[in-house]
Amino acid sequence: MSAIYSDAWYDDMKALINGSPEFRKQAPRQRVVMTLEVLGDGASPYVPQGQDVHFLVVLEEGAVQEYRPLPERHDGKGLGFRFTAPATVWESIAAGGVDPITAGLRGQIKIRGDMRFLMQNADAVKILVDLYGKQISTEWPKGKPPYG
Amino acid sequence: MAMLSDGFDAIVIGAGHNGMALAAYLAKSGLSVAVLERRTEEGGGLCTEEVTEPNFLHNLHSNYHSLVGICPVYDDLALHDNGVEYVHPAVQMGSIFSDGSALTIHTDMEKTAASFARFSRKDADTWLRLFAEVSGYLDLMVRTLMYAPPITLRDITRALASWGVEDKSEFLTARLRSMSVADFLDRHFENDRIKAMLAFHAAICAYQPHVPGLAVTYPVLLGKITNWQLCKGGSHRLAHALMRVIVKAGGRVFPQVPVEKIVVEGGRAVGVMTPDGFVRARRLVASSLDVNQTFQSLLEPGAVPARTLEEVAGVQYQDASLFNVHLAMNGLPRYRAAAFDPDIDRAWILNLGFESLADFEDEFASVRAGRLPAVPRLNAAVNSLYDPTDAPPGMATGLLRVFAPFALADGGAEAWSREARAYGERAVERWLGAMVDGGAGLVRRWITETPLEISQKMINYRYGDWMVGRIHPKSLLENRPTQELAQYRTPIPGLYLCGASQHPHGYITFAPGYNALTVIAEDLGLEKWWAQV
Repeated sequence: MSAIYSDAWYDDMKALINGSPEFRKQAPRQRVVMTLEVLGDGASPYVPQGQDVHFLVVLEEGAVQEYRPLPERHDGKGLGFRFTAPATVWESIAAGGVDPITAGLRGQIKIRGDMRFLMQNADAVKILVDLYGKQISTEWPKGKPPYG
Repeated sequence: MAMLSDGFDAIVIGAGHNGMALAAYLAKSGLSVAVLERRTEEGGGLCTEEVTEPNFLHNLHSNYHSLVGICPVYDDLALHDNGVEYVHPAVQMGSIFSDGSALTIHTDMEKTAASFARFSRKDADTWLRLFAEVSGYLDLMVRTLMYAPPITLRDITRALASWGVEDKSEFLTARLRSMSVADFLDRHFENDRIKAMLAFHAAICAYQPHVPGLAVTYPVLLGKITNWQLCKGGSHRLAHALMRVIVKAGGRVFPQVPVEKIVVEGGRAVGVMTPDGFVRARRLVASSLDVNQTFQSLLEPGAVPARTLEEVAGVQYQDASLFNVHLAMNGLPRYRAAAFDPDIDRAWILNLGFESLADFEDEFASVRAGRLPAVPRLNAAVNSLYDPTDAPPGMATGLLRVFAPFALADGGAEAWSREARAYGERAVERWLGAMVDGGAGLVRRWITETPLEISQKMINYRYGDWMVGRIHPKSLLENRPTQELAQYRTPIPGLYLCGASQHPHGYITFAPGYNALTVIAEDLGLEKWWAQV
């Protein structure tokens, strides 16, 4: 178990995804670069208000090639998708308390990129969000959502 | 300045909003671009003219712009910095019913719910839940279903099933694929008038309420119900802004240059023939004309595969056009129904005549039979309520629209010249009849515009079809206009389609032009400066 947003947590996530035979079976073969943007919202104890956490996920050949934090917001070059949400939303998903698809439907996660690709790879997307939301084992040193 | 004889990297046929938007993006990408337009003015359906009296500005075709702030083109091309200004009417639309009651839809959903609650508390609550749900995914849906080349309905429904959306949503279900808008409304609402109001909104977007399968797109429509906006100074201002962007980027728009032929050499589109001679297109020709004109009139039959021509010949158009009455008025209308709901006097768009879902069935059955009802059901708009610059001080313009057949049962399309004045009188009388004192002294002058006249002026609107192709599940997404042509490419390399025959459809969406751009950018390897993720 690793602390949220720690290097080990990103490594755990990568290993978890790559260890999923279902994901390897369904994942697209081409290179897909995504960034997740975690916006400090005043409620999360991990991302102060006004600050952001960014991380990069690169998929290729049916596996995660990179899953790492970024020092700053991705400039968009070569980027396929940008997922943006308040920290509380991301952390609630990681804690298994919020369903990511529901969060997307409610507009809590802003998605930029070619939605057609996500729809055409719907099964892989489903596996990915399930892994993120239900199977990653996370340590919450400053408390776990929902936050008071 | 580039001359026609110099040739261009890209030639766009037709200066409607889709063609001009595509030209603007390409010009800003560094291509030399020419837009060739048959008429004397750019804009296509963005057509504002003083057809009644001087200084009364009438939008002859495009009047409602519901994608401002949603469509990426406005920001990408900085249209607001190039002369476009929009007004967002607080009371978007309303209905006046025969018993003197009225419903209003506001930009403020709480006010809409309050109006609905006077007819049904349950429906008002349903409405708030529905609108809240749709608002959550509207952006995603619009980007997926409008501002991207189409994917198949099968892919969409498979994805929604895989993601378990049906379990997470009250209103999105797989059954929408087989349901009509009327079915959807019957399923979720109880009050006839509320259902009629919401069906009216779909109908004026050309989504006939009883067509099976159209419920699948209804959430996108509903999400925009508070976003109907009015182009200040007339819709044609938007065309001017597009032209300004093109010219600033080094492109050219040539009015009164009709394209007579698309020239194909060695199987590739290499230019166009005009009355002034051949104009070379070094990289591409994009046609924003309807698919029938493009393939049946502008291309030699030998240049097009027989199967393509056969499928184009089978493209279907809407079976309902519009009969328009444009009015110059001495002031703003005041309705008797304001005694019930004072906001009805401020409703930009008005339903007068549709009181139940059955009324729509009756209306479109009459239209399909080529009949004109004795009492027209109206879609009325008073732009001056929110843009007083479109008329002299203290006066107003008005627009009445009635769903109408292109060809009348008795005499065909030509018979409109015989019927127009009398039918216009019936439409005006019906409207005035809803007003205080019968609208005495309000109307100065009015003129009619029949489906035949619409199609003659706007030749893309075949059979008066302002959507340039029927709105039907078999003619949407990957089937529009045909499966082969749905991705904006054609069997002729170098020739693209960017007009409203393409996905998603007509209206001021910019989507066919924007999606054609996506495909062209891929084929030409252009850097997508406009699509930064």
